[in-house]
Amino acid sequence: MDRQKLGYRNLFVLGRNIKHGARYTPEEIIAFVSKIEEQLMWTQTKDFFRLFPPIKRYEDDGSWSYHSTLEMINREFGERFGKGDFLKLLMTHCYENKFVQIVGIKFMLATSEIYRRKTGLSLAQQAIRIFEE
Amino acid sequence: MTLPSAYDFNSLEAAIAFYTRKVAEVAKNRDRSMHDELMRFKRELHERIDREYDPAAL
Repeated sequence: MDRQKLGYRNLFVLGRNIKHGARYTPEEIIAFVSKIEEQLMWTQTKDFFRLFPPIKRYEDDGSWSYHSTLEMINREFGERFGKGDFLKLLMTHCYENKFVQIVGIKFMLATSEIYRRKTGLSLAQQAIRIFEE
Repeated sequence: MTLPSAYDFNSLEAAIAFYTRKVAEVAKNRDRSMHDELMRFKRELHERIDREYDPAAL
């Protein structure tokens, strides 16, 4: 199986496992997602949206709609995934796939938890600190 | 322009989707006037994550 296929397979399996109640430590989530990012690096971004189409929300309520998603893809993503592109997309929730969306949420929670352990501050406390400065 | 509260959304996922789109828009338009509102929303979003997040659920 080639690197890209493995990456998407791992992404889907991780999301399905989480959705079905599997528990992972924050470190495991970060490690899995980092591995998937590595497997998808330099692969074509259009393949992601072939598998997980832009969100089918046609009214503009301020969240991602089909139109704003297409505009954002054209503006912010090149032909291939560069460093950080996959993580950004994962957390943006502008695509149709519940399994992948849940990986995005768990990745955010995992980074938040690791930040808390390292600094003793939650990301909310950190945001308040920046806001007050 | 005033943004809604991160608590106004039915789900954490919906609040995150709203926030990420707003950040993309503000970056695109280089609209610095939205900075305080975005930071306020971000703070509420993290507070909501802290409240709803059960470490054992990961």
